[in-house]
Amino acid sequence: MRFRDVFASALGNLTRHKARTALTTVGVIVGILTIVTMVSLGIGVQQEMGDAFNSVGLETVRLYPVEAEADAFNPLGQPERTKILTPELVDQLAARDDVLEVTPFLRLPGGIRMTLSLDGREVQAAPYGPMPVDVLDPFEAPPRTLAGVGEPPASGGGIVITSALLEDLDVAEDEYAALIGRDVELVLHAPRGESQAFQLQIVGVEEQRWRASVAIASPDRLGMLQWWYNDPDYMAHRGYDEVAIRALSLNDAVQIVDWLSSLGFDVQSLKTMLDIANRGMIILQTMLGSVGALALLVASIGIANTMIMSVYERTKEIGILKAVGAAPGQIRALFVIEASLIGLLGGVVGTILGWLLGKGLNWLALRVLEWQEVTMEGTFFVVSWWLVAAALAFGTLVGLLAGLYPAARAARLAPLDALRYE
Amino acid sequence: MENDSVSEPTPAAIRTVDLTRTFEVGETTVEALRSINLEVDRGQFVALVGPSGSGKSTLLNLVGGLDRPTSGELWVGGVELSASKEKALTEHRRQRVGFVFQSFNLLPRLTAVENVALPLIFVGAAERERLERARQLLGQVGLSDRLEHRPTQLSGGEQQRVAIARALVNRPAIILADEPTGNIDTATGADIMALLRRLNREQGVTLLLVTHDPEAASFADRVIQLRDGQIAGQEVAS
Repeated sequence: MRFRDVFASALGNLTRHKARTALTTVGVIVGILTIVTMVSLGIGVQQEMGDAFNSVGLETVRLYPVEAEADAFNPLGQPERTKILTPELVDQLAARDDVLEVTPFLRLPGGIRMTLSLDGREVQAAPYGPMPVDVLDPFEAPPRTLAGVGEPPASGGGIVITSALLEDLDVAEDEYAALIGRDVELVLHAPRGESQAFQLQIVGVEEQRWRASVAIASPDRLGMLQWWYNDPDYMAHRGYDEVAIRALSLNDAVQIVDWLSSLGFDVQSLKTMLDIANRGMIILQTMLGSVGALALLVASIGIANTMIMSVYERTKEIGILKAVGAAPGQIRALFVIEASLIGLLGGVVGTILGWLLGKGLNWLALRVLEWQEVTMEGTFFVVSWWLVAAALAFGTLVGLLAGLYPAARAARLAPLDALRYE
Repeated sequence: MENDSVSEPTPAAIRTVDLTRTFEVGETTVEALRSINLEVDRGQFVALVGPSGSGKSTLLNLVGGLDRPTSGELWVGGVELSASKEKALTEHRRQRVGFVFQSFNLLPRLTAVENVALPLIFVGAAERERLERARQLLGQVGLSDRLEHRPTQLSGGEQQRVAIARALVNRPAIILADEPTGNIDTATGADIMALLRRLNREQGVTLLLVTHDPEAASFADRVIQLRDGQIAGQEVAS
């Protein structure tokens, strides 16, 4: 018997009872739909998270000082730091073999007012960076460097100015290159009316980033903070605000986290966070996948029921087929293929609907995020080719397994009894 | 075709040795066939006649491999069937015998040509080859103009012709006809019998006919009377 003939016979039988086939298929559709939607959500979210984490660098450990609870009577005051990020700690970290790079970071107070003087002109400026690690929006291109370098040297004394600020100073774009190496004066103004000028050298011009307009390195920031708080021992009292540690590898990052934890710091590597997030996703997927599996179990019972009905209805036909030379195995094949086709049909429709549902939910999720003013682009439901293949194979397998028993009954029928059946 | 059966050197079309078939009906045992000893030559047209329950259909079904004897030997075309396994019986039904039933037993959703071609599906013939053979056979039974009709669109006589064509499609050595004229009127019945007679003569196919219509039996070379599962008498046409 040729497969084409088996297939044609099965297809003919299924299309003859359209309503019954459709109703039997619904169960499979629901099961496959659920599984496809859930697995595609899993793939999509994992990809998005992976991309986001990768753009930051999973080998990066971020270390913050340990702070006491904020003083309830002085809500605007800075909370006491119980563990300080000292330059000694930074040196210790930098000396480790498993550390590639250590970037300490000092944050300037939010209320600080700054002006930049160039050629006798003075404009308002706001500081930024260098960030310990550039945490850029993964969906946005990094700013371009228009002249010189993009970051001030870590040793201090340099400044990077953004193009918007230079526009305020009426400096044309073709003059940017000539600015490199020139001295500027950055003046800090305290609310108490005092001001202090800091001499810096222009090392680069960068495209506008956020509202910030000048980039200054940590040593210069320390000087500014010492003046602002009137505290020459600022570093001993407050330390750095953040230290970013880039480890050689993921495993090294985990080692460093362990070491820092033993020193009393509360620290997590991005890897740990990604692991926790992934584990959560797997639990969610397993739960929802189980719902789909349950639906498929029910669907398989439905298919078996339909096929048993079909065997009863076609008892006489089976007798005729046996009388004209159909072997039991051939009868079995006819029914098994028929049941498998129901499963495959359910798989195809379920996969398409699952894909559409994913698209719909993705759209909805982005609209909700937009409504909550979180602008984001992303694909949270990814129906990969292997998922399509697996869904179709799984649907077919469910149909096949459900068809085994009815098909065996059909194959076992005694030809004479079957022929006499009315 | 190989199977696990024993072969005779010069086989008769059908040979039985003490062939017995009993059925258990509740507590009682019904002896449908009791120690039948019979030999049918190749190309012979044999009619089995007798009252209802005399065992003639049982004998036909045994010869056709639709049923198994309780004891005794059954040789068809030199192959011992009583000991055959299911696979060998399938081969037997497929290759050596063709059935013609009283109620035609055509598949209602298939056209005449598809019904005739149906048995060829199970031997793995290609569709084109199947349909070609079916058309040729429908021509032989005089239905060239009814190829694409479904059974419900055909008269009883025409349906039986389709069934006869189907029985011939695998070129069997024996045609087994169980009351082939039982469901059709007398005139058409005579046509059907004439057709079977012609096929028997022209193609040398052995014909085993079960009937209780003396008119139908009169077409046979040899009439065997069965009564209570035993051979009660024989007549050979002159």
